[in-house]
Parts: sequence; structure tokens; C-alpha cells
Amino acid sequence: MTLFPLYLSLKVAFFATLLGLIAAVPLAWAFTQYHHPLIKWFNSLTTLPLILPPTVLGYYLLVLVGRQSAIGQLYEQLTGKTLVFSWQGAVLASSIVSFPLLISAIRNAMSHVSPDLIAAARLLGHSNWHVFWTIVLPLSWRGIISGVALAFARAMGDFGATLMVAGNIPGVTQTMSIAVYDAMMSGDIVQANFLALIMTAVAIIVLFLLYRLEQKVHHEHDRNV
Amino acid sequence: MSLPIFQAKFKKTLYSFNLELDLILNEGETLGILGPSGSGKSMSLRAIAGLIKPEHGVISLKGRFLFDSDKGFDAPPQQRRIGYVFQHYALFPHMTVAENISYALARTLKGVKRKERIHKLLEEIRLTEHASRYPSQLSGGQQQRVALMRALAADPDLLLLDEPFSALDAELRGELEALVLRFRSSHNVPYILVTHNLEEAYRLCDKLVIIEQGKVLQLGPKEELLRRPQTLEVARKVGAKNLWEGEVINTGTSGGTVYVPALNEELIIHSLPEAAATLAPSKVWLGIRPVEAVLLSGPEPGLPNTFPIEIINQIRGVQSHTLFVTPLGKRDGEAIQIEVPGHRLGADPPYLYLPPDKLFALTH
Repeated sequence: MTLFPLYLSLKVAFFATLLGLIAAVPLAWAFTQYHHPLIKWFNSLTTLPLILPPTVLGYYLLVLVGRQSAIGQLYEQLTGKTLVFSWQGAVLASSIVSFPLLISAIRNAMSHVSPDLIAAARLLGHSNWHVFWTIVLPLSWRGIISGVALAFARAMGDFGATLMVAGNIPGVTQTMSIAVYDAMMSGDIVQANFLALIMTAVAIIVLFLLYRLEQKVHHEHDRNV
Repeated sequence: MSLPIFQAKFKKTLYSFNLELDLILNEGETLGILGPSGSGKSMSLRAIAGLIKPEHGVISLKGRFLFDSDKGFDAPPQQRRIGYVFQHYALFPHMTVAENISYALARTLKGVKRKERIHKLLEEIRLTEHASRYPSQLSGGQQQRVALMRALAADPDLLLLDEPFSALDAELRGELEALVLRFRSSHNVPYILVTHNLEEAYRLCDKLVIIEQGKVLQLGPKEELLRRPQTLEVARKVGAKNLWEGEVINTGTSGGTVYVPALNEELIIHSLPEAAATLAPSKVWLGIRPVEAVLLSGPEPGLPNTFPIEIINQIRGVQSHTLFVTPLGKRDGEAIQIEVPGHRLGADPPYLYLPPDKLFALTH
């Protein structure tokens, strides 16, 4: 029995969520502020990873960042390593798989920040950047946290896309969900049970966190009314 | 003659109509924009504040251009030096009262000086004890006091009040109105108030503008709007409930005599619009506001525009009563509405006196 898959999954999910967050926060803000048809279309596009089968998504990623692709070659030149069949590849795959959950939660939270509050802050002379940090982010942090929790759980549990991009190399790219499959196939029921149990525990913790956040939101809502 | 400190003349296409505004505010003046909901009054304020962009026009404040479509200039809200008070306060819910005020001072004052200023401003609205409370822990009136103070704290050149009292009950409105008037003198800041309440606009502003479907119907000193409405629409909006068709039968230096068939009376009026005076005999509309009509207990010799009436209906209010009266013997005619502070009637029929200086005439 080895704990490496758990360690790898946590690491991959952490960086995948971080990567997603860096992209999702400004994008979500842009989606709530600008209503150009192209932006709306791009907004809808961010849901695509939720609908596409993870294997198909993984396949596209493989084409996009594989050793033959421009991005893959650039990455190889810069780092001397390949993106595919590496834990970084797994980060990319699970980040894209979990991205719709992250961005929809953040977008939803930001769209609930009253335009009057933003207008009031701007009229008091503060730059849009300052208003974003002092008004928009603090007022949508719960949405951001719940997006992060969901995306982290989703990234940690990804199987299809990660397998396509990063493969199943024990000790290198074998994450939890892949290890469960692997243990199952090789008849190691003890390992499979153990890993499944941990995955379930993580899922329950995330659900509990989301539940607590929701309670708090309701509580504050009541107070405001 | 005072100089205009604020000018706005612009066009903006809105969803259901076009907004065409033309406003001027002179030094020391305050303006009330009066109109029903959906008439474009809030949109006007938003355009002035730079929150929406007109297609065409010019907005200037204290010699600075805020917007000029010809030059392609559009100052962002941050640079307009405009204070804005929202209908629903728009206090930052995650900041305390003191932090909300502090947010308005952050760019101009630092450290101890800022703290002192916050304290002083909170004293002014009697909320020092609530400094560390959150907006949700305050009453509506307290929240609006903070919102007003926050808007003023940034030392704006113009204050925009967007139906600031409509979410408050009557008792608090009076208190807030007094505060606004106090701020007007203590902070010396001109303001534009948007409201659908004539009484409120009259109490707080020097000038009124009536808008409907995005168009200015009339702009002028409030007394002039009340006494000399230029159109039937404006007359109705400023509460002139009594409007009759009439015919000018002779004209003097400025006024004349108008025959009103509905009352079967010849009424003397002190001022007639030029068009009606020069084209006599001509059709005009004659009107008077319910509060300007005077109820007499009997005939008074020598007083013009006086005739016996009968009261056909009345509504008793707290401050005053509304009476619906008709000329004696003409019960089937349209009733004249009058507003009296209270009345006692003798045995004789009462008389109605329509003061010649309070009557107004319209040509359209």
C-alpha cells in the first residue's frame, strides 16, 4: 500500500485549482461587466468541459499540448521536459475539467454584487482596480470559496482527461482515481478500498464546507433583510 | 445674474424612449427633477454621473467638461467629483459605518487626520456611537444618513440624490429633508434631487424640471412652475386639479377677463399668456390649484371672481379637508376641488373666491 497517489492527487488538485482560479477570477469579472456578443459566447464556452466526455477533452488536450504541437514543443524547449505524461500535464487536464464549476460559482457570486455599490465606490474616486479588490472580491468571497471547494474536489477525482494526458505511471502520474482503477484491475481490493474511502472522505468534507457556507449566506441574508 | 455652474444637454437612446435633457443650474441653486417612474429621471442622474454614456451632448460642471461628444471626451465617474445618494443607500455591507465614511476620505486624508474627520462627520449625523456597526444593523433612516454623509465626505462639486427618501416612512422623511437642507448650507454644495413627489421636490429645491418619457416639459423656478404652468400636462403634474376651457372676452395691460362656460362666470385674471392676450377673443384653459381657491362664508361686495357654491362632497384629512363644490344650482357640472385647513359653514350658502392673481391661463 502506498500513499503516493493521495499525495499526488492533492498536489495536482491544488495546482489545478490555483491555475483555474488565476484564470477564473478576471474572466468571471469580465463576463459580468461586458456584454459584447463575443464575450457572451465565450462565457458559454467555459461550460464545455462539463459537457464533453473527459476522454474527449483529454484527447483534445493531447493534440493541443502533445510533443508534436507548438505549445508542447515550446514547453519542451523551455523546461526540457514534456508536458504530456508528467504531473504538470495532470494539473492542466484536471484544471480544465474542473474549470466550469469554478467559474460558474465565481461568476454567480460576482453578478450578485449590486452595480450600485460598484458605482458608489467609483464615484467616491476609487480606481476600477481598487474597487475590484475592496468591493467586488470581498463581497463575492463566499462564491469564490465554494467554487474552489467544488473545483478542488472535481480536480482531485478526475480520471478520464488526466489519464489521456498524463497516463498511468505509478509513482509519477498515477493519481488517486487512476490508482483505484489500477488496484481494482490488478485485484488489490485492500488498496482499492482504502483509496475509495479517502476519496469519499474528501468529497464529504467538501460538501460539509459548502453546506456551512450556504448556512452562513442565508444567515447574513436574513440579517440584511 | 448668477453664472451657471452646471450644464447638461444630451441625448441618450433608452429601451423604450429617447432621453433628451437640457438642464442648467446656477451658483447656489438646487434642482428637483420631477417625473413618474420610468420617465427617465434616474437615467438622467446616471448620465450626469458618468455611469451611462449619452450618444450626444455636453455636460459641464464648475467650468470643467465632464462629457463632450464632439470632442469624444467622457470623464470616468472617478474624475467627475459628483456625490451620489442611491435610493437603496448603496452602503458597503462588509464595512462598518466608520469604514464606509473612511472609504470616501481614503484618497485625500491619511492616518490620524482621517480618523478625526470621520469622527467629526459622524457627530454631524449623530451616529458616533454606531461607528463600528455594520449597515445591516442600522435602521433605514440611519443608513440613509450615512449614505448622505459618505457622498458629502468626498467633497463633491455636485450632489445627486436619486429618490433618497422613497424607501423611508413619512416621519423619517421629514428628518432627512431637514438634514439635506442643513447640509446645503453647511457644506455649500448644490444638488439635483430626483423624485416623483411634488411636495418633496418643492420643499428641497429652488428650481423644478418636469420630465415625461425622457423629455423636459418645463424647467423653471418652483413658484413659476406652480403658478404659471405652460401646458395642461404640467398644470396637472403640479397639482392644478381645476382646469376649465374658457374664452378671452377682453384684455387689459397684462390680464383680462375670461368667460368660463362650465361655471357660467366671467373671471378676471391678472396675467394672460401673450398669445392669448394678443389674439383675443381666443380660447384658453383657465386653472387654479385647490389650495389657492378661497372659501368665504358669504358674499363680499366688490370682490371679483366670487360666486355662491354648494358642497357636494368632502374628504376630511389630518391637516386639511378637500371639498368638491359646484356653482349653486349646477350640481351636475364638473366639481371644483378646493383645499381648506378646516371650515365652518353658516346657514347661508358659502361663496367661492378665485383670486385673479392665482388663476393661470394656458393656450395649449
